[in-house]
Parts: sequence; structure tokens; C-alpha cells
Amino acid sequence: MSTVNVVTVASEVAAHTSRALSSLLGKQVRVLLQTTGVKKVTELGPTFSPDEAVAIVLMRVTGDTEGVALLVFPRATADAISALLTGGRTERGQTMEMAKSAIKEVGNIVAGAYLTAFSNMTGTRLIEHVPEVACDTFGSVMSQIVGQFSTLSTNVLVTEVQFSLLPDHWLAYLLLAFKWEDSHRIFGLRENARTPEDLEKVRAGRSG
Amino acid sequence: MGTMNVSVGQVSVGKGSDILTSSGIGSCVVVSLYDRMQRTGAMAHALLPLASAGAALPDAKYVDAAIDAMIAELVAHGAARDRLVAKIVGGANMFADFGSGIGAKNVAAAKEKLKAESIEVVGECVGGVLGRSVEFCTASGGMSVTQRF
Repeated sequence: MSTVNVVTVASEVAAHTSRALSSLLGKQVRVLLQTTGVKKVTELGPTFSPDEAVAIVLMRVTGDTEGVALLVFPRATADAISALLTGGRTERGQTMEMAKSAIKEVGNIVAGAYLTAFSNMTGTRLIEHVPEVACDTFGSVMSQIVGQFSTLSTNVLVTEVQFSLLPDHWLAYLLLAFKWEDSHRIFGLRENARTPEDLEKVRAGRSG
Repeated sequence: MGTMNVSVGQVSVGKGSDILTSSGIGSCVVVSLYDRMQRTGAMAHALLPLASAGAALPDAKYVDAAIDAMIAELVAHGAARDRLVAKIVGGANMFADFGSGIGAKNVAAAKEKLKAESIEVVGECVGGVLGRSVEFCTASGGMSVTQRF
């Protein structure tokens, strides 16, 4: 993807998710996305240590390729966002399940919007599956994903997601990985990539 | 005495008061082998069940190949093959509905390989939905397992 396309995807998703989360919470939430580029899984170390407590929403992707979208919430972000969504009022014993459900909903909104915009922008048909959530150490969760998808590339598109409910800010990370044989083509795609102008033509064509 | 961390795809051997540790064990399995008389042990952290069934990853990422490597390393360090006993940790399923049970397959592969090698499994902490960390003390052969959540 070109830098312009990545920025356009991030901007579209930020606008959509800000509206969706603000509506869900009844408060003005601002979501900002900044794609930091394609990295090797092994280079995620400075961002996440294997022992770091995280909540990870996984959305499996099929269609023209196979892959996963992961929204990784550091513990502090997961706690803050789940408290916001549940209003901090959870029945004793239900806290973990309600928190996981809240995190899954936010992951669904952000990852779903990103995949849709990414799909449109790259011309790659991506079918999103029902999201799942796991809360544990980063290493424990990632080991299952890597083990399950040994055919996935270790090249991962990393996007920082900042949630702002002034005066507070929380960070999460969206990771996108595809099959080895498709990864380079999708991330390096230029010939089939659509510019914002192309997208406008597509939209105009649909509405017409 | 030394503390050695065993990452995914690695095999390490310890003697005497060494401590072998491993963390971030989700669907992976950690297998330890121990010779009580020699106070020598090895630990492997494997990601996938069988070397013959997988992609071209380094061998110790696979349970069966990792156990072969541990046996060879321990014998090279003076352990007696017929005194080795095993412990198995891991094989969780971190996502309720996702995947094809890679954790259970890893555990099954470990048990099958150890049985084929006539190595008794004297302890296990496997399955479930939570990740684990382990510490293996080669002085005693004891292994402690912790879960963070």
C-alpha cells in the first residue's frame, strides 16, 4: 500500500469508529489511527513483551486471501475501555465476562471498519469473521495465533489506535497479517490499489 | 547457578542448581526431561505438533523434534536415557471458538512421542483457556507453574 492509501484508510476508519463509539457511549470519543508500517512479528518486542498482560480481539479473515486482524489492548487500555462501556457497574463474578464482551465490541468496530476500508482501498476481497477475545499475556495469546496460522506471513501491518475521552487517552494496536504468498502483494500493492479518486468513482458508480 | 529462559523453538539443558524458565505458554507445550541421579534436566518450548506435518521452521519448534533434541542433549551431558522422566505444561486454547485445537494436538503429540521413547510422564498441567509460565529447578526436578489471570 502507498503511504497515501494507508493514511486514507486510517482517516476513514478514525471518523467511522469515533462516531460509532461516541454513539455507543453517549460521550464524545475521538479515535485516531496512525499506521507505523509493515514490521516483522519479531520486531514487535519493544511494543509488547511476551509477559505483558493484554486483551486481544482476533478477527479471522478469508476471501481473496487468508489472514487475521488483531486488536491488541494493553491491560490499562482494556480496563479503561471496558469500565467506560460497562459504566463500571458489573455484577460480582460477571466482571471478566462483561469486560471481555465490551472489549470484543470495540475490537469488532475498529477491526471491522479497518478491514472494510483496507479491502476497498487495495481491491482485495476480505470477508470478516466473528471476533473472539482472549485476555492473557501477549506471548501466550500470540503463540496460539502463530501456531494455528503457520502459513501466515510474519510481516504484520501495525497501526496505533488512540482512544481519547478528554482528558484521558489510551493506546491499542491493530495488527494485520495475511498468508505468506499474498502478504507481499497486498502490502506492496500498487498496480491494483485504488486512490481516493478511484474510490469516489466507485462510490459514484454504485449510487448511480 | 544460572537462570536460563527457554523461548519458543528452543531447547536448553541445565545441571545442579540451574533454573530453566519459560513464559508466554499458550497453545504451545513445554516439555521437561529429568535425570534425578545426575540432577540434569532439559526443557523445550514447542509451537507445533509434528515436524513432518509442518512448514519449514526450525526443528525445535515441533514437539517431536524438540523431544529428540532434548534426549540427545541430555545423553551428551551425561544423563542416562533410561532414567529420564517427563513433565508437560501448556496446550491451552486461548480463544473459545477459534482454530482446530492446536493446543490439544501439541499435548497429544508430546504424550505420543514420550510413549514411543518409553519415557514416563510424571506430571502435567495442560489444557484450559489460560496461558502459563514455568520454572524448572534442575537441582530437585521440581517444576512450578503460574497463571497470571
